[in-house]
Amino acid sequence: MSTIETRPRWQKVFLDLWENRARTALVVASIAVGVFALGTIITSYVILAEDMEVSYAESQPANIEFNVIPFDQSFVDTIAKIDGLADVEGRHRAVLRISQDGGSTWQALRVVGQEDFTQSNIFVHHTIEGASTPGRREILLEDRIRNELDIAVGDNLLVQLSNGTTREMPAVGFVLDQGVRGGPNAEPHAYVTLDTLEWLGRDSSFNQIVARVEGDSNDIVHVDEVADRVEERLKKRDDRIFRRWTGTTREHPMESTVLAILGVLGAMGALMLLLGSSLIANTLNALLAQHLRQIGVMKLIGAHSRQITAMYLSLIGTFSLLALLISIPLSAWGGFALANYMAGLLAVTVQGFRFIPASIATQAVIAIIVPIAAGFIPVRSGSRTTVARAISNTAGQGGSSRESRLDRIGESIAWIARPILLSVRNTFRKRGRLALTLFTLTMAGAIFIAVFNVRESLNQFINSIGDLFIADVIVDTDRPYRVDKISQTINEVEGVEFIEPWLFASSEIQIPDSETGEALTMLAPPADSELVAPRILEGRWLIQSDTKAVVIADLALDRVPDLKVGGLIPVEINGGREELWEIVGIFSFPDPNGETILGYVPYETIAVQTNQIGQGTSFRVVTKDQSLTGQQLAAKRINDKLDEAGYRVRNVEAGKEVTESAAEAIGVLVTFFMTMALLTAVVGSIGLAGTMSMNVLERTREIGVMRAIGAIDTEIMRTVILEGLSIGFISWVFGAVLSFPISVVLLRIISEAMINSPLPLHFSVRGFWIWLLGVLALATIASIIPARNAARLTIREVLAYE
Amino acid sequence: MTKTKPLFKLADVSKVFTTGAGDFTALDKVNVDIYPGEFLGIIGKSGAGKSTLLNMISGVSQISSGEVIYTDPADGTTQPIHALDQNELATWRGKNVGIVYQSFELLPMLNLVDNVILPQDFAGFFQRWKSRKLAQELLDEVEIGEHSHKIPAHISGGQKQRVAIARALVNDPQVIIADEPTGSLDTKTSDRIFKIFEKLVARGKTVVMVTHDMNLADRFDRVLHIVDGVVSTPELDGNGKIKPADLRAIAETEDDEAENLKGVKLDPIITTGNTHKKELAIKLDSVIKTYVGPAGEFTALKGIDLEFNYGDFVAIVGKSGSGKSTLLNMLTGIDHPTSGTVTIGGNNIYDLSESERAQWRGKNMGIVFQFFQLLPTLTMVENTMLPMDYTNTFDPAERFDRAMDLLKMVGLEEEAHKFPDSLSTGQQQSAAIARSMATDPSIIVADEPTGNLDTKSANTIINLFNKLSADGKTILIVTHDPGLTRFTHRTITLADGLVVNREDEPELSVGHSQTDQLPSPDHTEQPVPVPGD
Repeated sequence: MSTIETRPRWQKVFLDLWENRARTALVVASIAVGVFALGTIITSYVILAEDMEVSYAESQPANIEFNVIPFDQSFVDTIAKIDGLADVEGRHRAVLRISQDGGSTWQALRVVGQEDFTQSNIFVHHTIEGASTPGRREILLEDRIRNELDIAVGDNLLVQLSNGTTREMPAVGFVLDQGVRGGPNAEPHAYVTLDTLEWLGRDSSFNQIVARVEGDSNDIVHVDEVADRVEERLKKRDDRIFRRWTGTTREHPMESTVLAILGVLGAMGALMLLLGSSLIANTLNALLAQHLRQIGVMKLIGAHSRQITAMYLSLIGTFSLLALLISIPLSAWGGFALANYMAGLLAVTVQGFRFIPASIATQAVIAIIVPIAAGFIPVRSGSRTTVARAISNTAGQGGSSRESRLDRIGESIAWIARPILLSVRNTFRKRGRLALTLFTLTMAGAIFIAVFNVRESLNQFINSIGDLFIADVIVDTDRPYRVDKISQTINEVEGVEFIEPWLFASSEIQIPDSETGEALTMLAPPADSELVAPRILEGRWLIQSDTKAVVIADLALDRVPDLKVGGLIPVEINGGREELWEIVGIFSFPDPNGETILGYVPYETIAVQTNQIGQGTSFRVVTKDQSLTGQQLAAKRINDKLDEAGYRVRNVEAGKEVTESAAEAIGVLVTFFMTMALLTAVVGSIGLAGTMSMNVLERTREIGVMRAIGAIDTEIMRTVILEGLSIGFISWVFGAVLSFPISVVLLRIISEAMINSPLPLHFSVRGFWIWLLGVLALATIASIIPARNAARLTIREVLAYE
Repeated sequence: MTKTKPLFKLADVSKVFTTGAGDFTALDKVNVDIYPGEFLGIIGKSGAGKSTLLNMISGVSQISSGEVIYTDPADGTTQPIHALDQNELATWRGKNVGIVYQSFELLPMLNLVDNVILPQDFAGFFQRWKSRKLAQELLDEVEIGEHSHKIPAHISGGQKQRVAIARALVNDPQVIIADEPTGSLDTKTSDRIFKIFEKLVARGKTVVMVTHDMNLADRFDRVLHIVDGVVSTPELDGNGKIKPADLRAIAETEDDEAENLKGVKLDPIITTGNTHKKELAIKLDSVIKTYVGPAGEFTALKGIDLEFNYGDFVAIVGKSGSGKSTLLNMLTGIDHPTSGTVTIGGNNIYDLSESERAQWRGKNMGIVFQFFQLLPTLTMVENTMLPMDYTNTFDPAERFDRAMDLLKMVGLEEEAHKFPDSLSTGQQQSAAIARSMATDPSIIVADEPTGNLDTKSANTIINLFNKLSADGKTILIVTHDPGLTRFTHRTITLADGLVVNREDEPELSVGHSQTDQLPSPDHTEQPVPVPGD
């Protein structure tokens, strides 16, 4: 390596970096990992915050949405005259079943019908591929469906009509629609013109009003004022308003959720940086200890403390710059990829790859400050050491000079062999280094275990949703069918064991002193149903003798004042007269979308009230094979059978599919956190490997002595690995304890972000065990190379006689 | 040599080290003047306090009491060295003192030119081209100019020492301080280095050199003899050389110390008597060891043929660089011979793998290292039990009792549960001997076993070895101290990698006393020394 002509002291700094490339790489990597993690999160945070707003605003989002009973264009024109509205459009929302494989499998889609998409000014689609609007007898699809159903532009899809017949129509394009609510969990959407909808046997009138306001559309108060006027007008026509939603033009409905999650990831990135800095401090401590003699020599030939300090701070500064060279482009790319991925889940378009100045600036500041802060104390004490100490043969050896109990650990236990004692005591020899290593590994372990706990809690939450859908196959029909007849048909399907009929009813809870009510979807299972088992928070489940009794979702507590178990609520069913129903129980169902209140009511009562005695609109089927595949197979067979028999089926779904999509969304989130936890673990194990290497390096002489008095390779390796395992085990104990508060905080943030409601914490024993095995494996791996190096040392090398 | 105003004036300088075994006075009220342009030699054996004195002069160590005054010969201004802080000392050293150590202390990653000009950089004298030109000139002057762009690892020890001298001269200091600059070099190289210093003195530089080599005494302008931290100045004859009577007096003092080793009461020895006296224990056949490094090939052993019987008590002597430690490495299976065989107990130990040899060594050979090498995290008794654990010798239940018996034998029963840090060097050496006997090996090899010990401790050790030898153990002592040879059955003398007769060894055949090669007088143990001491 030729050297540049410069001052020899800077030459030394450069050569210290260059000649110890492995150490340079280790330090640079430990700085870069933390800085990269934080830079990535900041980049994606800024990109999403900026682009979600821009992308959402560009789609000209609705400020007001009302789902109402059908209406026509003239009513839209009437609404458009209301003061404060800029644009009003009518839409038809319905559910269609499509098949892309010629009818073998069917998928329910939410279809949105509009008169003329080219004239639409609200929620303008962003075209990903193909046509931007559907023509007559064409279907435009939301981009998410493309991967789910493996559909390409030009593919012909079968659409099932209400009468069971099918129509074929081409998929003409894929778009992003920011009007879809519910983020990644939302049902997939498709778009057709109203005349196509009619061709598909559906009503071509509108059932949704979407509108944009004039004036400050980012002022939610103003938007609500205008929405009030619209609602007033709607009620003049008919009281039945199924749903009202208002929002500003700038804020994507999912923005706060996304940014909260990114905030948590950012906090983990910051933590990783902190852990990285302890690794840096350890490495720099060891470096200074190794360089102590050189420092002594430099001072001996005239170097001042400040000159030495400047040299080593420059060394650290160079580590930082190298780390920045890695982290800035990588974090820009990683942040963009993360933002792009999350944007895809939310139908948001990002504006393209770019460097985020805030991210670069933050990385630059932390990449410089953190290592210098971590290295300042060792550099300062190293540069201030006396020449005599620096060049003495004992400099940099040994640990704490004061004897403590830890020095004598195991002394009173007669059966512990000395080689094991050596490992255990060596563990506590360099206390400062041990503390930093333990800190890193403990935090990694605590986060790892906490992520498992959070996952377990979220899974429990999904299971609680699953408890509402225990059936193996759920069949929903477009109209009520006699239970005995449809059961006979379904029973013909192989593997079906049991069928239970349910009814649904739309209703509204009347709120005193208020003109609007709260929509209540009544689910009416038989009172003795075993296919629903909600978590009852208060009161009880339905019993046979119940009549006008409702077990209501806890969401109602927020919406309806003075609601309590034993209380009576005024309810209108299907627009009928108001009746008082008794609340007999409250169950837990944190609806992520927070739109509809669910209530379980007795089947018999609803059957009587809706004139559907002996009938059902939903059928819960129990099958022999209860695996997801078994359920899906049974669902297909039942679907075919019902089609064949001429039933108008809306949807047939395997029970586990209901929880599957929720689990998928949670899975994505958990994967993010797990990745961060694993990265933390990687930082931790790099730290441990560094510590073990330094320990071995400092003890080469002792290792030589051990060999000289009879220790074989495996004994030497065992001594080193056992020390690593001791550190790993101690960190596991601390990590397990620390995981409790971290789990609580993490779950709180995630559940608030996802479902606006705190979830109870459930512990995953598996997380504790996996981390124990993981940290011991990491400790073994981190110790193996130093141990092998130790075992390879010949006595001559380490005792160096001549 | 003008003796107007001293360059250095040391008045009542004392240095006391605090060690695990209590305070130790390394220098006791030293009063010395050092004059400009003189070549001052400081002689004495290891641990006498020579390097400590040098460190006081150069401000490397703080003095405990007294004062060290430096007078600038240019303008007569004085500077109290003992009162300067670390940075002031660095500035003063950078401008006025060039320092050369036995261990060279070059910065390993810098090439020779950069090593030489580094003091200029720190002192603020650095000028890119001028400084490099000067460095090249200095390297040429010490005859290593052609290697100026090599790094230290790629040159030999003698060459490194010349670079260190060039570095010491780069800021044109008034005084050069050299601590055992020839200590690890062969005779020829030593002479070459010494001549460089003589040239510097001839050019008006002041050189203060520490050495334990009495052969050099006559070549200094003036000599300070240091024993137990007390400095004396031998009388000079008309030629400025030490009077022979003074040299003899020094030698007699140290002979008296050697005599003290005799007649010490023996303690019982714990061995299982598993060895057979007079049977062949070790045989070295044409052993050659050549090291190949970036600086070239170096043959440390040039064909050694030796035999040792069980029960032999043998001293292997020779000066630094003679090959005795390499021979020890061959005997203990620590390093492979380049050619030849080493047969111990009838087996060629180099037929074994490294691990097998470690086990074999643990069971059959006890090694006593010069610096004890006790494991600092284990107590004395645990250190002593460790070889039994590694080699699985003796029943686990017996190991503690055996370790305690061995410690009792070396007088450390009371210290059995202490850590090495809290013991004196003599106690640590005794514990190392106890550990070497843990597995009841038939051969014990000791590297400078009395090198750091006071007389009483040395007595105990030598008697112990005598008794072990009487019990049929083979005892091999590697030492540079011929004074010990009178207590052994045989002496093997090495010079330049060959076994030579005692009379053939030039360093040992000189007429005057080998002051520095005899056991130290009775004093408490020394602290761990800084380089050169």
